[in-house]
Amino acid sequence: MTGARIILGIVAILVCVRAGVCRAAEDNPSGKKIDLRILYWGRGGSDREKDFSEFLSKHFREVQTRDLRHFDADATKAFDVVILDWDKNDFKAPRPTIPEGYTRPTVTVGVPGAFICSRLRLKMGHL
Amino acid sequence: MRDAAHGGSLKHEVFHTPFEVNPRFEAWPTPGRYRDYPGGDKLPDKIKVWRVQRPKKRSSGSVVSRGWGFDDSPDAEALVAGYNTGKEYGAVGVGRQGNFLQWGFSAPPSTMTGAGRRLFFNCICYIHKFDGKRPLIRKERGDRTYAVRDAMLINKIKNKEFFRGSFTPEQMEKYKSDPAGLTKVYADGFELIYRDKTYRIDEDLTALGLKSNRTVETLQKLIELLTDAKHADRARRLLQRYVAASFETSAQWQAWFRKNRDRIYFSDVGGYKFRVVPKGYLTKPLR
Repeated sequence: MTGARIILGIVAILVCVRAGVCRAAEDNPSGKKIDLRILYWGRGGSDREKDFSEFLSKHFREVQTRDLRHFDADATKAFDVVILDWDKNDFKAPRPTIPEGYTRPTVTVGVPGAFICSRLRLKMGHL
Repeated sequence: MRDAAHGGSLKHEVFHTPFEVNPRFEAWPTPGRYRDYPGGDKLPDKIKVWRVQRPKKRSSGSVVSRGWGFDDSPDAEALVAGYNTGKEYGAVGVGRQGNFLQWGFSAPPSTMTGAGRRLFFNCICYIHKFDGKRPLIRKERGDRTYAVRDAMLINKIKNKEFFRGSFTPEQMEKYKSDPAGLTKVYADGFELIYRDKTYRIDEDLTALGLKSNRTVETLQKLIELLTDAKHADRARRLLQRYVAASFETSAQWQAWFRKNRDRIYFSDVGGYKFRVVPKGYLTKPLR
């Protein structure tokens, strides 16, 4: 019985690993990492941060994560693309202060991202 | 926004570069709310969509932005329309303005579909091209489509404060039980709508025989009329109304127009003004 469980466990692990490998290949058929440095700002320590970080790390040359509550525009200067995200309490998510002169390429995500855009009076927004 | 994008054009490079996005299309019921907005009555009962995400819980935290006026300045583009139940058909699920790209979907990568992940991946690569390209305008006004939409709602929304920035008290009284009449006013005069506390139809332009307030041809004509004694005052008033820049003499206006003609655009959202794109900003011709 114990032996059967061990075998099932190994099979499950192999299936998961294969699924992960297949997914990575499906997402990026070249298999090569894109030469971009990504800075992800989200909810520090959350499963969501881990989810994004794993995906990004598979496909981009360098990925770092920071906590959106402590957003600092100066910290983005060493990166090529910035991602601003949050996972809970959409309407209470941090709304970082981003100076009008900020020009770093930036992806904002979901409702928290729309609030950030609204605050900057961009066309993307919540209303 | 729900978990899908509308199956519109896939020509944009975010669907091809660096990797091909191959959505699986489905037909979903057309949201009833779409019918409440201009043009919604012409939509079919079912509408083509593709799933971007399959979240473990019922989707929340996704959002679309109003599509009206999204493309009226050359720094912005609607990339993907989102299937939603609160706003209009065509509301923007993924859009860009300057160096910002808003990904309106909420799921993390592990619960995006394969096509959704590819698109997200491509969007990260795409926005990198806009390093240093800050937004040209900030949102100052609603696009003129709001005038038509608000007119359609004039007897549906009881709180009249809602319309204070849209219509004059005289219009509210005249059309309080005639939304179709007020809608027709703005639909017929659509190209002449501007903002002066409320949405107005530009009678100064009508008096000059001009049919739109947002074409470069109109701007050129107004500058020419500065040398026409009969119309110069009206032309000057209109230039003040519609141009972000300001000059004293007709010669200065002409020189400005000649120098910038290929980089002039009109934006409702940017305040119903003609503006000039800075040199070096555009990656392709404006017209």
